[in-house]
Amino acid sequence: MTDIFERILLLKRSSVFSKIQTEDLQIVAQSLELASYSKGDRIFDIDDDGDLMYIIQQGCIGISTHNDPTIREFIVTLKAGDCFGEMNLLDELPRSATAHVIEDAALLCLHKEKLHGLIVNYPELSLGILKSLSIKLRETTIMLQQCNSELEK
Amino acid sequence: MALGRGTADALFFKRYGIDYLPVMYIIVSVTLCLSSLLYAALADRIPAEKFFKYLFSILAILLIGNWLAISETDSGLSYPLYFIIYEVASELLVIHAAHYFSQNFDTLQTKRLSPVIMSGAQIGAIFGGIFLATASHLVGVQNIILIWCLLLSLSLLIITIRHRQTGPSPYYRAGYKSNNKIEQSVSDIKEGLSLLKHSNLLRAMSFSLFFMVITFYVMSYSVNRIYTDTFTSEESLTAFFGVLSAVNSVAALFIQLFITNRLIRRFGAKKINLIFPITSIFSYLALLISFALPSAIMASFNKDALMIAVRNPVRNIFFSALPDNIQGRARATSIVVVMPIALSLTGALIWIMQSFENPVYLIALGISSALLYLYYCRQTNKAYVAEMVLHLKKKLFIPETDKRINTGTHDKELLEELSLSLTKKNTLTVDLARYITTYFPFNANQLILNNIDNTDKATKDEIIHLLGKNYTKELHFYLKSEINTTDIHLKHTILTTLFESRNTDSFSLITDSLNSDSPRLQAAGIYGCLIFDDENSYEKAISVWTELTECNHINSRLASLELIKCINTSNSDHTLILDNYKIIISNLLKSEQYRALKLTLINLQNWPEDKFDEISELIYETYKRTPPCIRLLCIKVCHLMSDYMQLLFMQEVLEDNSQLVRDQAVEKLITSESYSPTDLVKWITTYNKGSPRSQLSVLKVLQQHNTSKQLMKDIAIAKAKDAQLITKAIRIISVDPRKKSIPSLELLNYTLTDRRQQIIDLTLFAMHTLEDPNNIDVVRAGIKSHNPRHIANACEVLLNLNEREIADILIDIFEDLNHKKNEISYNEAKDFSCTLDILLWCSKRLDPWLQCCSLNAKDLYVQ
Repeated sequence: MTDIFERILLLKRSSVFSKIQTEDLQIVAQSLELASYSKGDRIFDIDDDGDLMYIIQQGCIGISTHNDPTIREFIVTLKAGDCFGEMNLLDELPRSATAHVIEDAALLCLHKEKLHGLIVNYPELSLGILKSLSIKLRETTIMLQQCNSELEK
Repeated sequence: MALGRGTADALFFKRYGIDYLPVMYIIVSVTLCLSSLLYAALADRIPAEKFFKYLFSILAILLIGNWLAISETDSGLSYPLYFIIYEVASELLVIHAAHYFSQNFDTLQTKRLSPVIMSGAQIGAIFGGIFLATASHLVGVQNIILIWCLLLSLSLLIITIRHRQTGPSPYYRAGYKSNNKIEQSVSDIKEGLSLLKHSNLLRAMSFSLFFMVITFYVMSYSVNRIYTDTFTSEESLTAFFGVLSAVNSVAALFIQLFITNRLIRRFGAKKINLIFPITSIFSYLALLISFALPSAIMASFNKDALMIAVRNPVRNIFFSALPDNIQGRARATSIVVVMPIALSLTGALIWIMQSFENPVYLIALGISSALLYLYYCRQTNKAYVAEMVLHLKKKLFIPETDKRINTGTHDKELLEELSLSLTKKNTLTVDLARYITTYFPFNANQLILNNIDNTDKATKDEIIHLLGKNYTKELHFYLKSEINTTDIHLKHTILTTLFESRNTDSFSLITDSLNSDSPRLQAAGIYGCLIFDDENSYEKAISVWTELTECNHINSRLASLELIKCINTSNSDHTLILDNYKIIISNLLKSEQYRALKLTLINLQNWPEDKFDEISELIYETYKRTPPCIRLLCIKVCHLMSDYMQLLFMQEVLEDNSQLVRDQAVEKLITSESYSPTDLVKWITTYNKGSPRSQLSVLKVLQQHNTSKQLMKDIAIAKAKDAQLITKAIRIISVDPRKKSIPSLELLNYTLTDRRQQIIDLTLFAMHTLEDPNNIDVVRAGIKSHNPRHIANACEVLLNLNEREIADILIDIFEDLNHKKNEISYNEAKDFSCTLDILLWCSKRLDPWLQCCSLNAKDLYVQ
């Protein structure tokens, strides 16, 4: 399977791009840039400015919200097909977490400007982003509930 | 309930007298109205299972009391009392059972379980009927009341045990507790009545219910009169009622399980809605011919079996077309207002008819009400689809279609409103001006010129272009007053407009323009000279024109472009200029400047020759590297390309990412006469060329060119069948065990799923010409909504349209989507024997992206 087909399938499987037709995903796939990271690297740190979102093609990424970016305590670990970094492309605030490479990773990056252009052309993309944000919000709520119940114990 | 029905009727008819039945109808109607109001006021205060306990307990106490009264006293009043208790209890228990289900199951569960529950009720009725037939002689009719009581206690026990184990009803939510619940119920009923004014469907349904009640109860009275006369003892009458109830329940169960859904699926709810009124008319006709037992049995079958099995499910379908928040109040209004009024009226009318001592009058009343019932069923059918479309529109936020400006009385108000908007400095001025010049050409120039000073120069420029199409005295004076403006572009527009007016007092401006330093004003001067055919300045004009086309400065070249339309190929003076233009255009098409490209392509549309082979590849290259607005212009000039290049170009542009570009490409195909509408229909159907989105563009253009309904129908059918075939292909790939190990197969499956959606959309789009476009838009939006309720309603609208052949294929696809199976059916295996078949089929299709995905998957699949 050639690279472009692999990318399209990866995008189609991801929560953000699943609503877009495979034919249109060709353009998105062509807009992606490949970046490789080694185990132990940090993709971005908390409070960094960011203009890229990432889709994991291969490898494993840990997300930490600790103020010290060197501390590897993950609130969630992401695997192939997962997306991250899309939040601050929309709210334009600094990164809310640090992304650590747990296993050697190949990431597909999408630039903010390209994402904005895609959203204008494909409104379905906004639904996908909303869906992924909603999932994250739910996960955070569950995590908060667990923390609360542990504190009460 | 079957025991109650049989015993209440038999005891009342035999011990009290059937002549009092009409009076009972009136009393029952009042009691029913009051008890329903009381029920509505109390039902949502406590969980449904608890309310069931109260209902069962009260009913059991009343029944035992009644049995004691019948057994121990000679009071004749016990029988009508028992009759009323049964009638009210049967209604309340049915209503409360529905309420209980809604508190214990969600909507989907209720929908799935309701056939099982209804079948359970019918089986109960069968057993009850058999028991009545066999036991009434043995235990005595009045003692069956105690058995009914025992069964009620058993039901109470089952509910108590169940809720002791599972807790209270999971969907119970305590209602709003106002101080006066009765008052609240009355206000709900009032709201329900006011809904009748706004909903055609609800109004028609209420009228049909009203006449249905009269039809039903007149028939009921007639057949009971025959039964009472035929069976002399109360035991034999009860036994007969038992047999009748059992037989009718078996028939109702059979029809409900095996026939009703198939009939609704085959003929649609609207046609099935007419069955019960028609069979009622026939039943009355049978009674008219012979007022005897066979006709009565036939009428009983009609009212006790057909009504339950056919009429009730259809009525529920019609109710579901109403929004959720209306349904409750609508049903309450039916029970508390419509039914009691109809029942009282029936009682009164039968009372009057009785005095004639001839059943013909009674039958005449029944036939009249059945005919009116049929009429209102037809009205209900008419309102049904319209109501569903209306509510889907609201739910899916589909706006009403644009209302064209009519030439009626509203014009003046609209014009005043538009004029007011013009006085404000805003970005909409050009659009407003365009609107006014289109719809109010006589007032336009004066109105717009009065406000033109509020705008900037660029806007003035555009507005003058616009007003120039309808040249008036006011515009002429305005242009003359503005001629000395310092803005070159505005001055150019003013000059050009003045020259185009051919007004002789503009003649003097030609020489000044030709002598100007500005290339744009020089171009305007040349244009004026050619328009006025001015011999004195002709030589000067040709010389300036040649200079402009030979000058290397971009501004001179761009200024000269607009003069392309003035080239006369038979004029030898223009030969050199034409050659110069060929060089200019070839250079400008390589430009990276958006404005230069745009102006070149716009003016190239006026090229004086049929072909311009030299620029074929340049246009192709320009198309590939530019945004949609420039790509659109490339299509407009593609007729200048060589034939071969044009063919290649058109194949590519039909698959353009932009819908506007694709539409323009198809428009070009038709206007260039390289393809006739019939060719394009074959393109979509026989050859199935291009992706669905390019086919959608073809369809749009075909629609604009008023393609015949038959051709559009052919397209819709072909597309629906294509979507059906793709659905089968998707199912076969989905169950292929190698799908997980070959990602390309998964991608192909995604692509096929996208294609199915697009092709369904194409089918519906083609149906625009065949049906009311508003309805089709609603169906399209409903199907895309991903909301099961909206999809179901959209399918229902589809089923009720005229084009049943297409609708049936589409519904078949939607049903397949809802019932995902893991086996491949015989029909599917007939089209494709395996995944490889599908891969070969897809790779032969002339759909570039699908072909690409399938070839990629095929390579890996055969390895």
